[in-house]
Amino acid sequence: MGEGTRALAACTRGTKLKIVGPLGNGWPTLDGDGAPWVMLGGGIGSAPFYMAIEQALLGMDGARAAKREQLFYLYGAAKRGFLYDLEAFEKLGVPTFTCTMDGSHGLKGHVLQLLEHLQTRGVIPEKVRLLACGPEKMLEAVERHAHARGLECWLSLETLMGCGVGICNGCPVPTVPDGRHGLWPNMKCCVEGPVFSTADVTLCGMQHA
Amino acid sequence: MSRLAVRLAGLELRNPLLSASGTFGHGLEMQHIVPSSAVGGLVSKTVTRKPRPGNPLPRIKETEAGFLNSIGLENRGVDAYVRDVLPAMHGADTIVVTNLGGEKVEDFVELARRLDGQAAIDAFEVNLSCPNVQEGKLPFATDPSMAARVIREVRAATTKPIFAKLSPNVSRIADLAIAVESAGADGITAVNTVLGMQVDWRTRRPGLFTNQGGYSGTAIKPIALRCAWECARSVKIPVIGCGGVMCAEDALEFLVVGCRAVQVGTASFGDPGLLGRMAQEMDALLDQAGVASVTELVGTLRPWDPPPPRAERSATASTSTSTSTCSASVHPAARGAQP
Ligand SMILES: Cc1cc2nc3c(=O)[nH]c(=O)nc-3n(C[C@H](O)[C@H](O)[C@H](O)COP(=O)(O)O)c2cc1C
Ligand code: FES
Repeated sequence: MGEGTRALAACTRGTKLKIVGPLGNGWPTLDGDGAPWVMLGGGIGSAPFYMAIEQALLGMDGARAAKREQLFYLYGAAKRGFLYDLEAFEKLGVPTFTCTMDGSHGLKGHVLQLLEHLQTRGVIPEKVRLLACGPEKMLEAVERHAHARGLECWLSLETLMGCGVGICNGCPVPTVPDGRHGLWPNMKCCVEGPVFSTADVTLCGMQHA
Repeated sequence: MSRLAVRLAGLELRNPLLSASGTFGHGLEMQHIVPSSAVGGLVSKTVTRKPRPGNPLPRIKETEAGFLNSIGLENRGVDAYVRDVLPAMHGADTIVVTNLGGEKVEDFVELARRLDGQAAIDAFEVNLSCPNVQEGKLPFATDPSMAARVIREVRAATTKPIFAKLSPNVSRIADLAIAVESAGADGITAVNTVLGMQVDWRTRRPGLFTNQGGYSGTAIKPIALRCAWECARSVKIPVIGCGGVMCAEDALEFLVVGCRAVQVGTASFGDPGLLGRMAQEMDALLDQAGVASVTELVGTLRPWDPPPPRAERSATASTSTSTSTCSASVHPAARGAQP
């Protein structure tokens, strides 16, 4: 648990908080025109998907609204109790599938195994657009998967952030040389992200404790 | 708010508050939150001759009382600065200070020469003191003769005012201040970050990729204040205080110890709008205190009066001293104590 979470947890009802935001970008426009969108949520990485699904169903940024069957929500966690707000996602009416590392809910395994499982059964087509948010190890695996299959893929990333508004250079995400931002080795996670296309950045070179 | 106006090396600042290098982008990135017309000046992120990608992650770390960084002077180099940043800086409604960085004397000289003709720039700040390059060895910030050499050669390369930014990581900062003043600096920025380190004993990982880094924010205010005071009383050129300024009160403290202006760094990270409100807060504080102009405050530190000689420490002799309440307030035990 990080300092921010600890500070939030220490707040009692009625505590006044100062919020700087909203900051950064969001998911790409989840339109109803191309390949289906597969959303991969890991643990608390589910947070940004609820509103994304709501918006996609309404028609996001003026784009054609996505149909329920064009959206798949695949939610993985260590165990059953860590699948937060699953019922809320199910109520949105998009196909929702789960997996847990200990097998206490849904498929036993991680989200990419769940994706493969559903694809071999024809539930999800081979050609999809991936969106992922979750632990770094999971995102690294998703990045590799997207490259191996030649899939379009966006990752919602996290780094330590000093300012959140683009003025400290504390939040670099490594760019790939042949991507749209390849002329400079870093992008700023806070203002140019936190959502990046795997065509532009790579998690290779980001270190974890 | 002319009560806040200050003159700094021939420049007119509407107020004594500037952004600190590397903590406010190049200045205008924050225009929608802090209009340039609200600050006395904007100091750029350090610009180097060649692009610098900066250090690997992690390069920032929040600690108990301050902030550690090892950004490593990430910037796109002087060509990109001239091409992409400076055109917009013409529109800045404030003083623009470009911070110059280098690893060799020639780097600083070349930058000053290259930027001398740029009308958007009002002054240079020479970063002699980045702890996040050259393994924190601080070659220019710890050796007065090296610091003087850089300033002397930059002086010869430009007609713009130059401020020498010093490091607190020295035992006698006055030596550095005197050296850069005699070398032709128009002002001194005191100070850059304090060398620091953080570690997680469970993972055994240092908080920063570079192990050590620069410490800033609340925790360093007493260090910065001491350095700024020492500089201000050692030289005639103006001193710009920097380090741990989190609010208008802090800024006023730096003025009292002798600074003509003050930079705000780390505080902008927690409160990006702070710099935009600080001048007003400062104005209100001066109003409350009945101070007519901010310059009235500069260098008005009132050192404590020395205690009276022992012979006068008696109730009967109390009227003979100017600080007449003094002897009465001496603790009886102290009064009665024998040598
Ligand atoms: C993230 C970060 C980046 C910085 N980058 C630079 C820089 O590029 N050049 C420079 O001269 N000082 C740099 N500094 C130092 C600040 O300008 C300032 O001297 C120092 O942080 C102390 O002030 P503060 O306590 O108000 O932050 C940086 C400081 C921080 C925290
Ligand atoms: S967190 Fe400061 S630049 Fe991104």
